[in-house]
Amino acid sequence: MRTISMLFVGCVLAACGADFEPGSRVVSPRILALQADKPYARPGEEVALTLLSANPEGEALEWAWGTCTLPASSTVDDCVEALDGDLEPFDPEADELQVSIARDLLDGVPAAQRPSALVGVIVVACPGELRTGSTEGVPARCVDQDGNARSIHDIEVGIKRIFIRESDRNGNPAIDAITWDGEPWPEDEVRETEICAEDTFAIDDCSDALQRHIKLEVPSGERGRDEFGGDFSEQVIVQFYSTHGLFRDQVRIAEDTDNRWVAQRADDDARDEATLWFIARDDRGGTSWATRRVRMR
Amino acid sequence: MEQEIADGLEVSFEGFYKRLSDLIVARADESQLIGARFENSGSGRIYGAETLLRFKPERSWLSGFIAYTLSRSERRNSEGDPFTTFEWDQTHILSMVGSADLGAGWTLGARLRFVTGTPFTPNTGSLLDLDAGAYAPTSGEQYSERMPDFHQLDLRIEKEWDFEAWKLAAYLEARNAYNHRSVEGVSYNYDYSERKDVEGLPILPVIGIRGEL
Repeated sequence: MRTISMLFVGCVLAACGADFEPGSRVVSPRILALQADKPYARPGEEVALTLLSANPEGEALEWAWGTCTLPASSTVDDCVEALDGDLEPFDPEADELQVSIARDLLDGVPAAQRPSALVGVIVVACPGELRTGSTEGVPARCVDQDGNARSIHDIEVGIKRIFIRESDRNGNPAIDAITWDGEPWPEDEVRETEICAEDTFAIDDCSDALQRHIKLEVPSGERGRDEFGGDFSEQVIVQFYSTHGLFRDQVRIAEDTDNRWVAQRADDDARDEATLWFIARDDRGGTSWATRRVRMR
Repeated sequence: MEQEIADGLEVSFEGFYKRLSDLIVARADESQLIGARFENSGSGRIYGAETLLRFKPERSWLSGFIAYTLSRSERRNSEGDPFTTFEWDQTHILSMVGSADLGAGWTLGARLRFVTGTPFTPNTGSLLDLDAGAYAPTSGEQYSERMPDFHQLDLRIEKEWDFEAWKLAAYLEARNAYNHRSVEGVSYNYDYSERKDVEGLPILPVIGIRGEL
C-alpha cells in the first residue's frame, strides 16, 4: 500500500526570540574597554591602563581594581579566585592604573604553560558605596545610600588580561578614520540627524532616510610568528555602542566595518545629544576606541 | 505485568531501573592549561514505573489509552558523590489519547500530554571579559531550577472516503488546542541581568489530505 499525504499548516504567530534591549545601547553605568599600553608585556615592565566607561545618567559611582598574577587559566572565574590582594579604590578621572610586572614572574612557569602566562586586571564599578565583602562570588560588595546591598546585576565587574612574554609584542589596533554618510567625521565634529519615532529594536522599522551610514577605517590584524614558534594571524573586530538609538550590527570585522545607525529617544529623555563609541579589539588583548557625538533633532 | 480487567479494558504496569557507568566528566585541575581534566568516573541511574490503561472494546465506537510514567534520572561525578537530578529528568509524564468513530467515515481524536519541566542551571549574573568585549555568565547551583511543566491538547477530525482501488482521507488538526504557550527554554540579555522564557508554538491548525493506493 502506498500513502501520499499533503499538509497545509496554518499561520504560526510565534515569535522565536525574546526582545531585549540591545547590548550596544548604553543606558546604565558600563565599563566599555580597558586598554593596556602593552597588551603583551615583558617581566620587569610597567603597564599603564586606560579605562573607557560610560555613565549616561551621571550616577555616583565608586571604583576599585586589583590584579591576579598567573591565574590557573585565562577564565574570568579563575582570576577572581586568584586575586593578589584586596581590591583597591581608585578614581578613573584622577588616578592612572599602573601594573608592575615582576622581573622573576616567568621563572617558575613551566615551558608548556608560558603561552598562557598572564596578569589579570579586575575593575569594579559600583553604583553606590563599595564595602569589603563579596556578591555572589565577586570580590566586591556594593550598597546603596540606605546601606542595602546592590545585586550582582547592578555591579560592573570587568577583567583584562596582560599577557606576559619574554620577547613578543602586540600593538593596540588603530582606528584611522570614521565616515558619516560617506563624509569624513573628525572627532571634534558633532553630526546631526533626525530621530526615528518608532519604538523598536529593529533598525529596518525606521525609514532608510533616517539610517546613517557609519564606516571605520581599521587596519587588518597583525600576522607573524610568536616566541614559541607558532604562527599567528590576528582578527580585528569593531564593536559599536551608543547612548541612544540602534545599530544595524553590534559588531563588524575590520575588513568590512560598514554599519548603520538610527537615532532614537525615549519620550521622557530630554537629552538631544547621543554619544557613540567605536571599539576595535584584536584577539591578542589589544584594544583602542574612538568617540563621536550626534545631535538628535 | 498485564491484566484485562473488563471487556476491552487492559491495564499494564512496568517498573524500570537502569544503571549508567563510565560517563565522562570534567574535574577541575589547576595544573592543566584548560583548568580541567576529563575522566570516565561518572555514573547515573534512571528508575521509575509506567502504567498503561488501554480501552479498545471489540464493537465500540470509542478507543484510547492513558499512560503515566513516574521516573527519576540522576547523575554523579564519582562513586563517593551524592546523586543529583539530571538535566533530562522528567518526573511525571502523562499521555491520554482517545478516538471516536462517528460513522460514515468520520473520526474524532484527541491527545492530551503533560510532562514535568526539565531542570536547568540558572545564570545568576555576569563578569565582563574586557578582551572579548562580552559578558561571561556566572552560574547558579547546578540544575536548581525547572522549566514550567509542559502540557498540550491536540484535536483532530478526519473524514475518509473509500473508493474501489484507493482511499482518500482529509483531516483538520488543532495542535495545542487551548493555546498554552509551553516554555522550551530561557534566553538572557547581553549581560545576563534579564531572563525571558522562550515559548513554544501557539495553537497550530493543520489541514491534511492522505491518499492510500
